[in-house]
Amino acid sequence: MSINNYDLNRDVINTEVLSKTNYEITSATAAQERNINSFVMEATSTGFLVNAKGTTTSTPLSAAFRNISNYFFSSSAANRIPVAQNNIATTGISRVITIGRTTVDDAILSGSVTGTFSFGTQANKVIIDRPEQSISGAVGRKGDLVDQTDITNVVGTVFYDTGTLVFHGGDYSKNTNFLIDSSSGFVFGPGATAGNVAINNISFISLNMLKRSVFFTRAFNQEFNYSNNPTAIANASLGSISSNLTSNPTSFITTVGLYNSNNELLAVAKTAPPVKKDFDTEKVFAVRLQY
Amino acid sequence: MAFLDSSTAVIDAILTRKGRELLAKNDGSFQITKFAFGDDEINYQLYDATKATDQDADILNLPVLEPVSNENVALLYRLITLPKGSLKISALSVTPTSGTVNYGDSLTINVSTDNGQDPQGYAATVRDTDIGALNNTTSTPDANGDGTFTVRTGANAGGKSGQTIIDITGVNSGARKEFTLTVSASGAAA
Repeated sequence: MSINNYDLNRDVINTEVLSKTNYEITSATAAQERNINSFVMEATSTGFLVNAKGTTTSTPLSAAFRNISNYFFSSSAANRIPVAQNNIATTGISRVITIGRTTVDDAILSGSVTGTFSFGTQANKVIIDRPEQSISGAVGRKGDLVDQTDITNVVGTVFYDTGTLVFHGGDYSKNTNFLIDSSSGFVFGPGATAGNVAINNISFISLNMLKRSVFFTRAFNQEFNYSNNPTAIANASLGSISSNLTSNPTSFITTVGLYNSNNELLAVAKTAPPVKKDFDTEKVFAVRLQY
Repeated sequence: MAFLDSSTAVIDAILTRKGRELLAKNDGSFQITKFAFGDDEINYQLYDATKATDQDADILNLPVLEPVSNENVALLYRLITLPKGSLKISALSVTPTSGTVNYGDSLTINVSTDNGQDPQGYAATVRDTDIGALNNTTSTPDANGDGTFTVRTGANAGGKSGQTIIDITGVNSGARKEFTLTVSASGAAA
């Protein structure tokens, strides 16, 4: 035999591996490098969306508004979305941070978002996320974006799976108004000048979920001691084994192939250096596969 | 007295193209159930059985290549299990031994196992699928132990003329045979 079956109950371990990456974005350049975009969207805007690379696109900001309105808020009124702090009033303007898929990976870790924002010449405000307890929306888990010093002051919504932060509220009396006019902007920078809204920094943790299987692959002492390697065969047409290998049959393992039931090679692993195998030895390889 | 060797080597695997293809299908076809060992880089002529010690010193110093994702070349030579004292290993007989067909024609290849058996049949792959395509990539042996593969050429099989290799492997024996397929330009669209 040249191919053996695994005992799937005994030989295979399946686990999920969750890796986390911390990000702290403190400048427009850092945002650009991470494909993070911020913009003001307005239902009636005549401007165009500038992408994370700083290039003006052909997407009208009004179209971006309708997209977010429909997709994230299931709003049938395409030019209005709910105001974050009361969900009764509506707004036709809001501010958005989108985090590119290459940075988000599978999702943003709920509870990991922190951002510092400047509102004109007011003192900076730290905004954090408070994830919902159970998933209710059609776009995955979401959470409220709230004033760290007053969590009743809800300023927006974070959608963890898409990596989108929508700032569609904020109590003006608490110096957290994200709904002021679009000309006040929404850019990364160290601080806002009078009349502007700026993102001083934002930090979050992205999640990358992998499946890992470990296959315990055994070559018992009686197994795999001969080879089909042409250099181990003296006469290919007769199939005779080289004389230097007949007295003490020996093989050297360099490769482990993993197959499905149709004998298709699905994964391959290598050993380095070659592993000697003969009738006096038994070898076990823990072959790790992540996908 | 020596220490017990309880070590288990931990090695990382990569997916082959076929593995990625089946994983992407997400239909349950990506299910690893079997394994085989290979020794593609080894040159057994370096094994010196006449030495009292270190017969394998040269082999153990051979460099091993990183894994490749092309399943057709990732594991060519399988290790096999035979009783101690065996003097022969299995070999495949392929009829015809090579083939030349006109563009658009098909060819049937028969395979059998000498010095052993392949009750689970045979597997075959074409190295250049622009020249030929197999109607069946696996073949169950008939009552005589013979398997059959049919390779087609022409517009429905990559659309090129030229020469390529079909690798045929016995599932149980691990024996391999290379079949050279030549597709002449006759009949090819202008």
